[in-house]
Amino acid sequence: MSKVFGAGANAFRALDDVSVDIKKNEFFTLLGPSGCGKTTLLRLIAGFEQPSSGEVLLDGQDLSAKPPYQRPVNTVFQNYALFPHMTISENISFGLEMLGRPKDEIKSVTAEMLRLVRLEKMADRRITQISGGQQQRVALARALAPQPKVLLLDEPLSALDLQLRKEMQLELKRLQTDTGITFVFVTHDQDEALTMSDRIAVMNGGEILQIGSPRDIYDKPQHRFVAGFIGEINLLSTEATGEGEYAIAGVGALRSEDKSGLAKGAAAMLAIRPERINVLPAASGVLKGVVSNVVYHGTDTIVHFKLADGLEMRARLQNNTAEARSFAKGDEIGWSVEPSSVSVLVDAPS
Amino acid sequence: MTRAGKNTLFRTLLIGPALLAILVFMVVPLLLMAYISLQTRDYSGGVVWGQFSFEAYIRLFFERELDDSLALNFNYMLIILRSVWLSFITMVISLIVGLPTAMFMATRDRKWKAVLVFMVTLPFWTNLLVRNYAWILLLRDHGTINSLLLWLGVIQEPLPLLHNSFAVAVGLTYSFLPFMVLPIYSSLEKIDLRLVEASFDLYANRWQTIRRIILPLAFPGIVAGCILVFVPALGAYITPELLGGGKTLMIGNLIGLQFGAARNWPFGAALGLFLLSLVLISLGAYARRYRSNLESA
Repeated sequence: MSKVFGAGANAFRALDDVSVDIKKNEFFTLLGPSGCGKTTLLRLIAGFEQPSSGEVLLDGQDLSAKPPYQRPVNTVFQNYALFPHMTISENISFGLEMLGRPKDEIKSVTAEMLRLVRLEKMADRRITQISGGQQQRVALARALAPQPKVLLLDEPLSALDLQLRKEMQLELKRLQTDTGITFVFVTHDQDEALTMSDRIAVMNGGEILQIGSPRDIYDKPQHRFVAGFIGEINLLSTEATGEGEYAIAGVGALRSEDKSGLAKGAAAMLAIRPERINVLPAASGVLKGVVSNVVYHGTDTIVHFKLADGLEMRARLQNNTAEARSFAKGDEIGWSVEPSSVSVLVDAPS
Repeated sequence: MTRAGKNTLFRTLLIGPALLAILVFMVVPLLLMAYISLQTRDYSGGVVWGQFSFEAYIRLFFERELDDSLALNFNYMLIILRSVWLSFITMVISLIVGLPTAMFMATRDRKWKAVLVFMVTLPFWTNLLVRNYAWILLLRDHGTINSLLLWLGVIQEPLPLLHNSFAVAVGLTYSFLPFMVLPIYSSLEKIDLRLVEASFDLYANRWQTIRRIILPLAFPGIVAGCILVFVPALGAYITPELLGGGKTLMIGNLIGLQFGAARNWPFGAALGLFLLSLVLISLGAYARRYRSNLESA
């Protein structure tokens, strides 16, 4: 599916030949920086935008030609878009009313939704009289009430403060598990994506770079962008020297379990998470480095060290071990990484 | 001087000129008018100062027979009722025409919006008198509309389009339509488009979205438009004078007559106050009825 805004020289390709397959009852997250096309993708699913090419299928049925009000899909908007002239319960029952459901059903479902988001006591309050967190829950209840097949969430937590956001993350996950509805969640917050999702699609520049479980995305990034966007990472320019072996000029060699299929002598970019690096006394490591800085972070300590080729690496050591405290600036150290923790990036090395 | 004192002084200075203007140009004349309405008329115009009389108010409803007894007289009531009726019709037609117009305008591109708003205000650049004369040319027996219909063979005789209530209603609607369109447009323009998307998302089709989301949110603008059309239409002078042809009088013309040809200042003043109370009563009724909607929006 593609989406182009405008035409001719001014045309902006918001989505470039994107294809996703989202499973039933899945918590699927579109993760990427602003302007990457994730919201456009969401709006295409909702029907607010028409694809320039391609189609939106739900249970094998083509939704592309249907207006938003005929799609069994509901949206939680970024700024909630609650109806200001209605009470909380009127907002929640709106969708059911429009679907022409019987009165007693509307009443019971609305009551159930109010209970679900814990707002029973506020049913008759106006939208302007409640807090941001409460508005967020009303928006959620309003979108869930018609029991859509897919719930779309457009950065629904971005307007909340950190504390509330953490609570709502857990609550959202609970609601998704309880209702069994497929959630498509858009965010630029990697933490949010990692904690809540069953699967994540990382997007940039209108393309989907990698789709996988949070663990896959974090441990096995395939693109430099994915590696850099989620968490901290060390990137090393190496040369493939044989089956799963990569040489760092003047430093030594690393092994990886990734089957990159790179020919001998080809340049390869390796990615290693700081917490996967074992820092050892100089005598016991094959690979060497010199500590350039040690930064204490409470639960862990970041050891910055320089390789012989001048590249600076970071290792994250948990503070429950004694050795974290035993390194000081200027020390020569040894280091190692398990081959399973070394990712070979597939996009062009630079 | 304390900070609070300074603020009070500053505020008084700021609001002072406006207060003074209202006092001198509105409150004083109103009191003067109330006073005049309770005086005896002077047959050559003006009043006999200091000679109190309720004659002007009695005249609104009664007629003095030769023997000085009072008989009910509906002539003036009829004119007042006609004024209210014509203003109401004007308001309703303006609403029916103005609402879709405002909706159309509010949903255009930014560039188009500016052009359209300008076009709505365009008639204001021409004098109201001239614009009403233009309608005479259109509506009279040998005017544009009748000539066209005769030529097309739709009618055999010219339709009586001018010098009746119809002509006045047309003229009033034409004159005051922009006052309906602009406030509705401005309240529609402020509506967050995401609310419309949310409504579509929740299975409301176009019509349901207009009825359940857009109209309630545009309600303050609709009320403002209705008031801005109804109130000035009630006191219209030029339009009924020209298009009503002296037969279809409205309160404004009646008042004008009292201060002019009829030389009955107290009655004119009484009519003026009656018109004012009519406006205040209808505004009060409006406010009372729709207070809750206005507050929520």
